[in-house]
Amino acid sequence: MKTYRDFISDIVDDTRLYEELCQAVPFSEQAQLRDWFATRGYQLHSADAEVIFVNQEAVTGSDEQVNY
Amino acid sequence: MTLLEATNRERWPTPGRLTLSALDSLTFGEVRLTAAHQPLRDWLNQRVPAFCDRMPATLRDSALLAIQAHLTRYRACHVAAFYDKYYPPAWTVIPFLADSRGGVDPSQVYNALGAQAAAMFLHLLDDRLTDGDIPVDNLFLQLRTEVWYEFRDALGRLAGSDEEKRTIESLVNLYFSRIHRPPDCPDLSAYEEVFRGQSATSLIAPLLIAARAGYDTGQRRLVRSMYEEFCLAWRVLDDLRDAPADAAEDQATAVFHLLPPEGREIWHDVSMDPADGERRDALVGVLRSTAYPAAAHAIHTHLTTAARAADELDLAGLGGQYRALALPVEENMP
Repeated sequence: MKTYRDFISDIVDDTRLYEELCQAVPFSEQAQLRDWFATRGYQLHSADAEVIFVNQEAVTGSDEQVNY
Repeated sequence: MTLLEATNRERWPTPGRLTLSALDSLTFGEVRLTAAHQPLRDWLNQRVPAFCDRMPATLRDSALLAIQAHLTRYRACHVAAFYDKYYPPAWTVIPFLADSRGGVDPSQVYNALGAQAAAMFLHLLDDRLTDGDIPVDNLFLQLRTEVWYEFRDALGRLAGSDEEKRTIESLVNLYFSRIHRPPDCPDLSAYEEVFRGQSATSLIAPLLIAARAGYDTGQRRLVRSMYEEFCLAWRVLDDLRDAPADAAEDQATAVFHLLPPEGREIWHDVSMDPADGERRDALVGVLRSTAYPAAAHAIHTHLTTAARAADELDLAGLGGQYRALALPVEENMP
């Protein structure tokens, strides 16, 4: 089973999965979010799923500038 | 299609957190990667998950999410396109040097790029650690340790001679001497000298690949100067963007050193208190009238100096990238 690290690695090469996630949010429950990832082959630890769930809008946002 | 293209975002949008429109308008120009360099950029973007792979299995996902939270403001598309956010000459210098004379083993180019990716990541991480923007906890300490090992391992595979190994140690030492208890900077020249040292770890891979490509000692000195000029231009631009916040914290950045004495007085006195409107207005005025044109001139000078060095080294493509970065600065120069 793949994990969240694999999800990020996979969307580096193919954006479609990321676009699917953007279409799927917002999730009303953490379990829904974990199911979404699980049906696509990614198993999330509950603590990591909670971080993504709480920040789901930011996770799928692209408006914020990142300055290095 | 890249993630940023997929989300129809500009590759290099201007920052949104400034209120000084004149400062917002100064930005670097767009650099279009060559077809040969695009797969290298994609390979670089896989380094962030690869850094996490070095962590104990139980920490990998948490490490990736921590990077996402603290370095890319949770945006999955940004962490997946991590190196898109760097100005390309920060790393294209490596394939340009390797390809200029041929004969460099592709595995060495990837070693150099891997080292450069780690150096860039560590520079950002150290900057945020120093500023107290990220927690000093077991997760980040282990992450920094693992990326540091990645950096040193890649350099170890790249360095051949004893001289090259001494170059690595010397530049690593210079880096730490300038981030840990940096010396006071009474003027812009001293400030820039400190920043050259803070860029030292990202100089190592370009210098080693230049040696692999057959550049002699004098030419490698020019490679170093060229890369430092690019970094200095970037530093001044960054300082200009951060000027209001830096003034509020009384940080003596490049912009501070570019101000006349009366402007420095205002810089020392200003605060971020919304009620402090008079002094904030005075700061905006002095930044617009003196710091902005001086910074634009400094950035342009650094980039054109880098471009001329690239020309002298027969690196026309790299010189073109420096000039592309300088284009909007030139157009906005008062």
